[in-house]
Formats: sequence, C-alpha cells, structure tokens
Amino acid sequence: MRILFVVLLLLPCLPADLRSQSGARLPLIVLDAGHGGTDSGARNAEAGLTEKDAALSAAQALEKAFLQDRRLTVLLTRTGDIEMPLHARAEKANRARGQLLISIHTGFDTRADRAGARVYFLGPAHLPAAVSAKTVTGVKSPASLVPWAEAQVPFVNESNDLALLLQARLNTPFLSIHSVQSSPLLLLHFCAMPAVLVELGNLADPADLTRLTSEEGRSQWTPAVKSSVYEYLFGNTR
Amino acid sequence: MARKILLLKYGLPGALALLFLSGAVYYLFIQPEPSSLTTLETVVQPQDAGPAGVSTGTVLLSLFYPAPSALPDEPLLLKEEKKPVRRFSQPERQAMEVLRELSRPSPSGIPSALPPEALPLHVFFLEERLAVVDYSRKIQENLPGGMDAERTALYAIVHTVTFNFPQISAVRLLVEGKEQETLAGHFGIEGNLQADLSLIQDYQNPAGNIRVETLPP
Repeated sequence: MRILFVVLLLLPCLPADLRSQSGARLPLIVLDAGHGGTDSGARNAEAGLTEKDAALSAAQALEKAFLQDRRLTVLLTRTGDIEMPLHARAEKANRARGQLLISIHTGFDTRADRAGARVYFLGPAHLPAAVSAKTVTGVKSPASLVPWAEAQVPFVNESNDLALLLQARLNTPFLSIHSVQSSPLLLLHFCAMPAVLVELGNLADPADLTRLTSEEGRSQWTPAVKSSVYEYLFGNTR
Repeated sequence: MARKILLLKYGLPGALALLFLSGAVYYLFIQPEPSSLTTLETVVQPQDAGPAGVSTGTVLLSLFYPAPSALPDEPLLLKEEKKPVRRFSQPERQAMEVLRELSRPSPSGIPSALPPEALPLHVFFLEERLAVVDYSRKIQENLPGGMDAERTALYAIVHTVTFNFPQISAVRLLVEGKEQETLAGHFGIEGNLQADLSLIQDYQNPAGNIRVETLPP
C-alpha cells in the first residue's frame, strides 16, 4: 500500500512528453545538430554565423515545436557546443531506439542556385560494396548481428520515403525546387532507423540566413518538418 | 691498296666496337633512370640541377579542381586540368609535388578545392596499390565547410593521386599522422578511398551519384 502511494505520488513528476494522453509511450525521433566543438562546419564570417550554431538553434527550435504538439518525444544528439564523433551520435540514436533520425546541417555556397533546403539519404548506389548487390528489402531482425557500417541497409527505402516528404515540404518555405539526393554520408551508414540529412538553407544566401536566424524565419519551415514527420510516422499531417 | 685492306680489316670492326662500347657506356652510366610514372610526359628539359636524383625537369600531370558549371541539383563535380609540375624520379616525392600544386589555382584560374595552406606532409606508397597521404591540420582548419567543399577536397586528392600513378588504386588520408573519422563532418575517411568517376565532369556515370526519386522495389 505504501509503495503504491509513493508510485502515485511520483507519477506526475514523469516528463509529460514521454506519455501520450492515453498513457502509451510516444514515438521517439532523434534530431542531430551537425558539427560542434572545434568542428564549426561551414562559416559565414560576414554574418558571424557558423554551421554548428545554426544547426543547434534549428534542432532546438524543432524540438520545441514537436514537444508543443505532444505527439512524439525528441532526443537531441547534442545540446551544447561539444565535439561529438559521428559514430557516437549514431550510437546514442540507436540505443534510444529512435523511430527516425534527422541530421541538421546548413550549406555554404556563394552560387545563387545553391540556396534552399536540400535533403540527402543513403541510396543503394552508396551502400557498402559488399551489401549493394543484396536486396535492400533486408531483414530487420534484432536477433541477427548487423555490422556497424551496414546498419542503414534495411532502412534505405524508408529513408528515401522520409527524404521525399521532407524535400517536397521544405521546398515551399525555402522557395527552392531541389530534389532528393543520395550521398555516402558517414552518419547515415551507422543509423539503424530511417535517417536523412537536411541542409536547412545556405549560409551564403541572405534569405536563407534570415530563415535560419529569425523567429519569423524559423516559423516558416518548422511546420514543414513537423508535417513531414507526422505524415511519415502517423500517415497524417496533424 | 694495302691501306684499303687495312681499313677494311681493322677500321670497320673498330668502328663497330666503338659504337658498341659507346652504347654500353650510355646504357650503363648515362641513361636516366626509367620512371615508374607510365603516364608522365616530359615537356621541359631539366631546369635546375638540385641534389642528385631529385628534380629532373617538368612533367604534365592531371590535377582536379571544382568544376564551375555544376547544375543546381547535382553535387559539385571535379574537372581535370593538365599542369606542368616539377619532375622527380621517386614516385612518392612526385606525389608530394603534385599535391602541393593541387593547393594552388588551376592553369585556367579555377580556385583549388583545398585551402592554400593545406600541404601534404608525407606520402607513402604501400603494397596493395595503396597511397597514404598525410596532410597538415590546415586542411581541416581552413576548409570552407559544407558537404560539397568537403567532398571536392577529398576527391581532388584521391583523383590526382590515382590518375597520375597507375600503380595506386586507393588513397588513405591522414591528418598529421592520425586517422580521422571525417575531414569536415560528413564523409568517412577511415577507410581507403577509391576514385569515383561519377564525380568527374565528362565522366558522368549513370549508376553513380545521381538524384534519386524512387528506388526499385
């Protein structure tokens, strides 16, 4: 009786975002802010902005937006300006058994046609040579040991679906017409879940800079990311 | 008459012997050491003597730079340009020299994919067709950042080494003697890097790095 009383007493102290209204555990998504520490990523010296800071601000803005809706929980791979190897980021996401991972980056390119948001996933052409010949509709059995570098193989199709949703929705607020691209990004190789990398704008582009750094700018693209994730996870945007 | 006989008897064999001897002397002592760089083309004769066996002229080599005309939705590609580079008889020394040149603009004025301060510290050619290239930390510190910049820097090095040295098929990149996970946070460099023809302008490989809308079932 005393134990039950203590449990009932502590129940309200549990983070509200871990439980849905029905009490079921909410899906977990992982937001990875690229770079950090001595690795600043791309830099716009004139604007005094680095990719590591822009990515962390964007990840935190997204976390806030997602948590407000209480439809899922969010894990940030880093919450401060720390150096974190890519394998450690993937390990954190894999251990937490995230439903998906979005790695947030920005570009830096002075050519005008390089502005906008771009979404990348690990396509079949960039899988390790040993597995690219196999079918990508592979087994996801937790019983089988998967080599670290092949963790993404069973999720290639899902990652492509997520990438297509994100790219289609992000093109509107970023006024771009980019298509999804496959790229041999190291972090994506290690993720045992659908995983994509998003370049949220180009630090060399003034309009993209505003979208990244102002509250008003962020309010343009956070709904696009949210609705893509909701559609991917729940089959609807709200 | 007797002079003619003497000339025929001793002169002709003597001339032949002299010819043979001079050929042997040339072969043994004068002929330059054959280069292992089968694709090198000597374009200028020795310009500075230097220490014995070091610089022996200039060769025209293939260097790779960011192609200025990439389409918006394609990754930044590399463009091959020929550049005269000081010639060295030792392949590893030659690789150092061409990689030093790679940090400078191309002959047509394209800026290098590498920061000007990024210089190779060591190059070793190992067995199994592997070249180990060790760069100074400046390659990480001064790279402008972004996926395109990182990838073009990586493959400018890989292609410049593998295209000019047919005995090399892969490159292992180190920074100040140590393996790194990535050069700038995106692409893995812990393994051996091989040439990727899909990243070279005019070498586009349809199965390679193209946009992907849908995947096969």
